[in-house]
Amino acid sequence: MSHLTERTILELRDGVPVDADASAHLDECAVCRTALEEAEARSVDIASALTDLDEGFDVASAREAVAARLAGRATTAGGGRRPSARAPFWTLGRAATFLLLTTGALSALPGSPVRDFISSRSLDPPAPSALMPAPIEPVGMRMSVQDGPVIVELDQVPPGTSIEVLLVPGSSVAVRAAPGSSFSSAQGRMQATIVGGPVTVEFPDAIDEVSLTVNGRTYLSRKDGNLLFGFAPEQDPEGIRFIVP
Amino acid sequence: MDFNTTFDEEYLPLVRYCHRLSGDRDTAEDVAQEAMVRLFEHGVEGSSAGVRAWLFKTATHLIRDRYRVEGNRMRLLRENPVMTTDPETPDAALERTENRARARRALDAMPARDREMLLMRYSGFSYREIADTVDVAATSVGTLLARAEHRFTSVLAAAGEPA
Repeated sequence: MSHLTERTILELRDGVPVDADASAHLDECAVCRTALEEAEARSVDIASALTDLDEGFDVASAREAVAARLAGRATTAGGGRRPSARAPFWTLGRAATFLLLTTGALSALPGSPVRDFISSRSLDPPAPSALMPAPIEPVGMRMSVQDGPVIVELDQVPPGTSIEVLLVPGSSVAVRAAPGSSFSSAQGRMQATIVGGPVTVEFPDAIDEVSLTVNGRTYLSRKDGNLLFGFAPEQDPEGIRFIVP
Repeated sequence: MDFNTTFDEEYLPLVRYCHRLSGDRDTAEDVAQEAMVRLFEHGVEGSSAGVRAWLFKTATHLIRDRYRVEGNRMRLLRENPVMTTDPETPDAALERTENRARARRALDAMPARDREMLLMRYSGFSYREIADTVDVAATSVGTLLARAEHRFTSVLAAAGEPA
């Protein structure tokens, strides 16, 4: 039998089951025993070198951060997959248009039950109730830009807040967030103090140099067409989404 | 699955692995925490070994995705202050810093897959679990791992020699 392959030597070292022939060969072959000893020594050296890389990590703080992220997502997402920022606008818009056109057409017909239904109801909007809360409209700011760089800075963003980033056609940058958030802008820079999410940031697709900073930390930047992430985004097929830790 | 128990058992090895893999402390903490969040969000159940394998695989993919969009540019030789509870002499601290830089340089010189395999092996995973994470046949792991080890030790040795 020829000498054992390097693969078999490593499998022997690492306790992976190998052919009985290989074990038998090892008993008889000094060359392969030496190779195994070298592999074992190499293993010790590598483990030692890798240990040198280790640092101290604060487990208690990390535990709290993970618990906060979980709580934030449960609040933000309602336990299910979050819809994309674009889909609800389109879907709701189409549904509303269809409803208006259908209702209008039916109510125009004399004797229509829809006409009777409408005439029997007050035209005043219903008062908000616990079962039907008033919809919360996001607030925001839009700013026209001619060229880069474009910088968006979000401050005081609460943990667990969802931030959706969209690259959109046109030449304006926009930020939307929960009511109570405040916004200001200067040349190529938009700043916002965020009280809650979900937050949507729109960058113009035509501008090559953009960046998004959240609570003092760069989450995303774009330069020469390449997106760079300073913070891991959610994998969302419809966009880029961050959850603030 | 108890949150505190699972967290305390799994977080430290996970964040160390992420740190070794990414070379960046912030990235390691972000990714390890994200993997833990997903573990509980998805309600992953199973043996302790199974949960750990799931976490490491998720973290590996998160780091891979992050660096893929950055054009696979690993941050090189990021020097972080040594955190230790033992008093250390200046010479020992210097030696430790140099050793760390050498190990980092050796890891960064490796192809991504080799690096992932090496770090998973030295985090205690079986060949089958490594194969599952890096998408290679289990029978190829020994060969690929041998190559990765030789590459790592050769760069490590070269980095230790005077220029």
